[in-house]
Amino acid sequence: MTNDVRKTLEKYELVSISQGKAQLIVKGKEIIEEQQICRHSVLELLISTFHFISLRAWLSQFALFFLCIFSILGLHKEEPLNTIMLLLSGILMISVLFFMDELFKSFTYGMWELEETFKYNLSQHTLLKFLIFGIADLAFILVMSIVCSNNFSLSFWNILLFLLVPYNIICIILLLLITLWRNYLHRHVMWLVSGIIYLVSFVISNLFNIYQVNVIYWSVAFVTSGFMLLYLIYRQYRKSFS
Amino acid sequence: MKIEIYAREKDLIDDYLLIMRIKRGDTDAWEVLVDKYYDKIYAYCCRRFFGNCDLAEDLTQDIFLKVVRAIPTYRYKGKFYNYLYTITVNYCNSFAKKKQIEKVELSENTLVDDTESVIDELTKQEDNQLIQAALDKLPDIQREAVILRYYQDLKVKEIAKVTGVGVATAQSRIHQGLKKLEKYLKMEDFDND
Amino acid sequence: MNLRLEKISKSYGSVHVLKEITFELKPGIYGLLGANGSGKTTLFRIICGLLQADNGQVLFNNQDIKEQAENFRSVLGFLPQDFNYYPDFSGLKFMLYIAALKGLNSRAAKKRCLELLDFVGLGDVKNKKIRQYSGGMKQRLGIAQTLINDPEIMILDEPTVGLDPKERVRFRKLLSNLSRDRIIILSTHIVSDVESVADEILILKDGILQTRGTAYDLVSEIKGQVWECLVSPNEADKLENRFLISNRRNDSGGVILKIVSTQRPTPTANQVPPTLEDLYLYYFREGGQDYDETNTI
Repeated sequence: MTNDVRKTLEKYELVSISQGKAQLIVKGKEIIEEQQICRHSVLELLISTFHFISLRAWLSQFALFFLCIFSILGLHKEEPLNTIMLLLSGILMISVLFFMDELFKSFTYGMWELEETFKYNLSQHTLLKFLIFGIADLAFILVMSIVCSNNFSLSFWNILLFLLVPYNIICIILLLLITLWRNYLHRHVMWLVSGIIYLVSFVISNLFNIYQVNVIYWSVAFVTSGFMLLYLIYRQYRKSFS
Repeated sequence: MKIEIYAREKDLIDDYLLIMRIKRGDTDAWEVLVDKYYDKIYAYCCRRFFGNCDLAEDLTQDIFLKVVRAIPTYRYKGKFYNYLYTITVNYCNSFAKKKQIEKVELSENTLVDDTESVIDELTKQEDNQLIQAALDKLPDIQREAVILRYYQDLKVKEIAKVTGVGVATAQSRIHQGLKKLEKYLKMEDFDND
Repeated sequence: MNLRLEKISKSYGSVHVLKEITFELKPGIYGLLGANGSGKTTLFRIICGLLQADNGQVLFNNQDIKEQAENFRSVLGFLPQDFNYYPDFSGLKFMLYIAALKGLNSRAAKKRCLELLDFVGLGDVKNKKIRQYSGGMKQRLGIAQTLINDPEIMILDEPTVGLDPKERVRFRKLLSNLSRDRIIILSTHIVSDVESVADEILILKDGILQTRGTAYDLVSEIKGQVWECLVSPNEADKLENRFLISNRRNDSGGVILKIVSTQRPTPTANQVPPTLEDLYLYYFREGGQDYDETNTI
């Protein structure tokens, strides 16, 4: 019985008007395009930010990376800790410097005024760049620590701490810079200022045997600076993205 | 059976990909989606509303535009076509409540096959009108269920979800609807003889 | 769609750059006329959200732009006075970079950027580095980038400075080809830029919106106050000290002066129809000119 009825029902076929369909497609396209304007996707911004970081920035980082590896491998096994750390910290700072160049690009080329008026404005865009570079350098630090601890008779965690504490401090300074600086930043000024900061830290680390200080203090410094950095990042993220 | 399942699974993945693409602003994906489902929704609306195909066109457009507006916030849970049919069923029902739908003579929007002769075509149209008339006699909720089952090929479980009732209720609606249809169609046969 | 400024004020120290600026704009092209340093750029920065006003509100579609923030920026197109760029980028890469920051997905972005580069006539040089572009080309690129997100509001700060006359005509044509459901504000101190293109002109002077209206209406303000006379060079010099001179040109018989004055400046002077440039000079004259102040409009 059911089958008979079903067969009968199935005889009734309909076909639609193509004009209605075409009109619908056009209207739908308009709506989709409108929606795109108000759409917000941090992931997409992250990808496009990554995409537009110049190749040169990455190449110079890789060059530094290999330079570092070679230098470490070229060092004497019994080389004093200070020398090793100085070398590592030095190369790390140069890496950060190169990244800074790219990070402050919007300011040094005067594009900041325009970029601030975009949907994904300057603070969002710069913060994501900062995060990308930060993570890249973190990876750099991790690898260096592993290589070092394997090559010399040093504890992996010690090296990690010795590198991460100054790194955290530099990141905090940078983050404060991006949130505070609102004007045309002359490229040479930026390099000069950073150079001075590095020189000062270099001198300090040489004068005092900072690497002889108890690991406890280093750990405390790491945790404090780590929390401060994370807090600042979180605050800046909330400010930029809401 | 296995092939059928794979086909259905692929279909679901396709829908998911289309929605994701539309979310990102891909208007070609929108076109594919419309091509895929327009006829089905149109057919549903037409049969739901006494063969009024002009109305069906307007309703179909409204339904699709409603869907596209909701896509940015659409969370992919379950099957897209269930979602689409739910919107369709609800939209049609609220529309029916608001307006008195006129029973219109089924227009020429029935399948036209060039190879058939004019007489065959006319007979076909007549048959279609009879079926539609039989459908019209059903109460709304049964008509709905029958159309979804036999013209949209939804499973009973899916129909239950779409119409917002339990599986047993959906099943009984389909069953009752079919019984009535059988009666109406047999009666028509008698009249024609 | 409307843009409304309510009592916008801004001071830098003791200098009041903007004093309670209030106006409302509907879709159309508006020219903001003002002398250099008259606060045009500051006003634009405030409208774009780059600068905070000391007082007052900017409302787009009757909602404060601060509340709309990102949504407002999504429909904004801005061309700053100093249009800077990344010199190593090609024109197309620059456009794509901006498109990404404006939130377009990559497919739509590519299509749109190519379209716009053609629209401004940079299609042939899209793969060349921007540092190789001429001044006019760079400016055109600047205009192209403002259009990427099909903005409802376009703010163009001195878009024609540095362009030669041919480029300026081209720019005017570009502007008039844009569809009319936008609010376009361009600031300039070159009167001819806005004369033919703007639906309405706003005059900003001393931090106040002095007046607004169509070019025709504004010019009518000084109807009957513009004269032309032929005098000797000596007399011309004397007259220049006494009156507001709109134009001076040499002729075979002497010097022809165009003077803006309520009274007939010389017995032989003839009235001539005023132009927008005369109006500009009238508004932005320096102090010390013997102009009948009681007759201000």
